[in-house]
Amino acid sequence: MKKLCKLIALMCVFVVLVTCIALTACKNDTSKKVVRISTTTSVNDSGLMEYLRPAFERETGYTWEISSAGTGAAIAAATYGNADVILVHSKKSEEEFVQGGYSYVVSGYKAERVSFMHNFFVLVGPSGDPAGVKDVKATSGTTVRDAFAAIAETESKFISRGDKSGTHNKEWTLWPASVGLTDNNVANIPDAIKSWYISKGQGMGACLLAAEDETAYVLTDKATFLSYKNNTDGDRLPDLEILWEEDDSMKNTYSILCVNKDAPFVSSVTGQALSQGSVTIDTEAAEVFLRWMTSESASALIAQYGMAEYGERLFMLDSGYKVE
Amino acid sequence: MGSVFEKAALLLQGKDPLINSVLGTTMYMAVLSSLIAFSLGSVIGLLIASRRFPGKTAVKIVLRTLMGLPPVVVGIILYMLFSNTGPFRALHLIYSVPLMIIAQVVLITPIAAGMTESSVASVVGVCLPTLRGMRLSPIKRFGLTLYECKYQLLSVYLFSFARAISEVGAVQIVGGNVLYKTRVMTTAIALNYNTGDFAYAVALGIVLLAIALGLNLVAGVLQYVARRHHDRV
Repeated sequence: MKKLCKLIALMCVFVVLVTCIALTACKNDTSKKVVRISTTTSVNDSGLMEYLRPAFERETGYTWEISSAGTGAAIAAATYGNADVILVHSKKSEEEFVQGGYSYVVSGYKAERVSFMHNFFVLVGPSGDPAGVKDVKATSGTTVRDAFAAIAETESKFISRGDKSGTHNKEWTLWPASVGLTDNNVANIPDAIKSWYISKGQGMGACLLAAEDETAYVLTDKATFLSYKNNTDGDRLPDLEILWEEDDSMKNTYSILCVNKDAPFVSSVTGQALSQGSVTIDTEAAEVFLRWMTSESASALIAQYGMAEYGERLFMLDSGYKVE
Repeated sequence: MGSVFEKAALLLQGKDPLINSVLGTTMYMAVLSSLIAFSLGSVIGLLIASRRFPGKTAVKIVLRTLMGLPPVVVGIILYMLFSNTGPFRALHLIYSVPLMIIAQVVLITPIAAGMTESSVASVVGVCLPTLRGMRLSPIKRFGLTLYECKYQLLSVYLFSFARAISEVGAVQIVGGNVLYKTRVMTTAIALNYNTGDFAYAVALGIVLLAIALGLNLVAGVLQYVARRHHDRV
């Protein structure tokens, strides 16, 4: 019995020790003020925010906590009061957010949506190019819609995100009417195109890999494509190449929206309206973030992003959103 | 694959600036949540196994159903409850490690209870009549049953820990994968898969397995010591 007691004591000591080690390892830095940012996974995956973080912390004295999810969930997080500011790229969803009263115009800016930078969607496909997208591109006066029409006509395999992301929301609008895609609801995909139109329901990376494996076409943002193409471990997409890019209709615009602390928040469970001020939103922190992201020093950093790794910049800066 | 193991070795030496924060959060979350879930679950399991009461079969069926709780659904429900517009908003737990622990406890407690119940039922069936015959107090009886089931309980704990350290769906939703705050090994692995850094993701996975191996080695030694002691008595 004595030995058993010793054994139990030993186990207790072990457990306490492990807990202590874990506790000390999990130290929290509470000295800095925090801005809570909700963003889409694609923004987070591009690595831009981690690249900007040191400069932001140095110049503002704030730190940021970025939670990332799909476009829908990222915006929902703000309507649930879990973010001070959102950074997303889906115009329609952003406009709904503004119409719902969830954002406000920060003084010095023209509108709720501060569209401060963009990059481009690119159409990539197998080097064999079964739909002849390269020929379409070579013909003068054609747009990316003609390329999509060629894919549909030849019934060449196409990988769709199928997850209501910004990329998916762009993609379904590019098909000709004859394909029969009426919205981003995957339940409404016509049976006739199911043999070649593959709805994955997964992130950009998974879709790119699927396109490589199935020699299919896919619409992607350029940053993710380049990060898979020029990975430190080599080229993950040897057969895929960019077939259509840098076209005004392929613009992917990123916006910052500060969350309105007096927004008509409703209970996430019962749906009943909550009294004003009962949801804590740090608008001061959100505005610090907005002003810094649109400052000259951030712009200079964003303009450089991607140059070292890919030899080209990944994000282009926009202007005209500030009151002159 | 050489580069994967090289990366894993670098990570294990603590030379990666992110790994210390991620590893610390992971251990804190996994140890605490598995201990809480195990304490609750094993007591529930032992009580169900050692008692006869009306509706026992129904309770067992409910418990076994709860063992299959989908993590993502638990994550979404907790997300709604603890959001800043939810009923528990005063606690300010959204995107925090404590909420991740709550999610894990909800997921693992039924598993620990169900596993305890099914693995100790035979042991309890044998020793309980003897203990009753010895006219021991209920607390002493419970303690002795606990002692008799130590091997089973150890494996239940190890399984609880393994679940806690490897779960990704629920902790991703309620934790939000916030760097330096709620990012754990599994969500970091998922993130690196999304960015195409497969080798780094697998290296993180190797580190995760190394931790599990370490804990199982300690448990193995404990079991060996206990068994030798048992044989001598």
